[in-house]
Amino acid sequence: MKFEHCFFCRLVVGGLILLFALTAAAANVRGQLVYASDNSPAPYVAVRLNSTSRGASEYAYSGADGRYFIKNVPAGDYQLEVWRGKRIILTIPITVREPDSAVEPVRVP
Amino acid sequence: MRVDCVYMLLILLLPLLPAFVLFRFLPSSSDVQGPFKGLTVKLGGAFAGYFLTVLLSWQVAGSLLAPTWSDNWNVVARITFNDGDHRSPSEALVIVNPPSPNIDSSGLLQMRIPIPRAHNGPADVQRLIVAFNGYETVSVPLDPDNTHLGAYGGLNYDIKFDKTNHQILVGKPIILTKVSE
Repeated sequence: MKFEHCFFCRLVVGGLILLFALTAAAANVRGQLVYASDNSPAPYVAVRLNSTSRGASEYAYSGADGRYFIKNVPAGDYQLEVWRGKRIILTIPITVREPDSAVEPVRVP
Repeated sequence: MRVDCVYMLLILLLPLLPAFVLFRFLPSSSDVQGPFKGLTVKLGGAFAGYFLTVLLSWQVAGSLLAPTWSDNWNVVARITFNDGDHRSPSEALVIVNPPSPNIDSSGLLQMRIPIPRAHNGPADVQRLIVAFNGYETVSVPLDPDNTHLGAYGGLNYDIKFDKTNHQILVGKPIILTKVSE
């Protein structure tokens, strides 16, 4: 009984630590998409972060000025995917650092 | 007009009950005769009663339910450029006029959009893209399965599909965040 109680406590404490770690590790990414042809902003283009170990982020879209914001992702190495319709047209490796990471402008075809 | 199979089944099956009751307990003397949709119809007995009740139900259901049925059409067109120096046509932002999205001064948004009956993952999900100059662009996945919540940064907008009224209700406000320089 004592062991079970202790085990339960450890489970709760471990879960809280894990939750805290996941929450604390959240980072925000910002960047801009520009057209490779003339460096003008690429508006309303879908982007997301993807990592084989961490999974994918929700899709974010660039605004009229080409700027995009991806929020609440764990810090680490990712592939920044640029989507057109239902397919990926560009993949760029990036490193996300806490609390905010600015990505160099991405030139999309 | 979108034909809902459930309503069609109800219209066809429900009249069986009064037809059965009428001709089980009352003398069977109904007779229907006359032109209908270009054909000459001559029916008698229980089936005549059933036929009349189906016609009546069809009219009543049509008048009551038709306003709630959506009328979505698939538009097929080709976008081309008149010069060689162009970007991908898929980047074109298509706006419907009169505007399909109707946003009143209080910020209430109403619009009609087609939603596929099934999707193959998050890339397939229809999304509202809400963009405003100087604010971060917001994406609202219109996904009844909430598959986007499994991804990092996926926000729960409390999306509900009201199948009775054919409405998608975004339960939480779409908050636009000012871009910090």
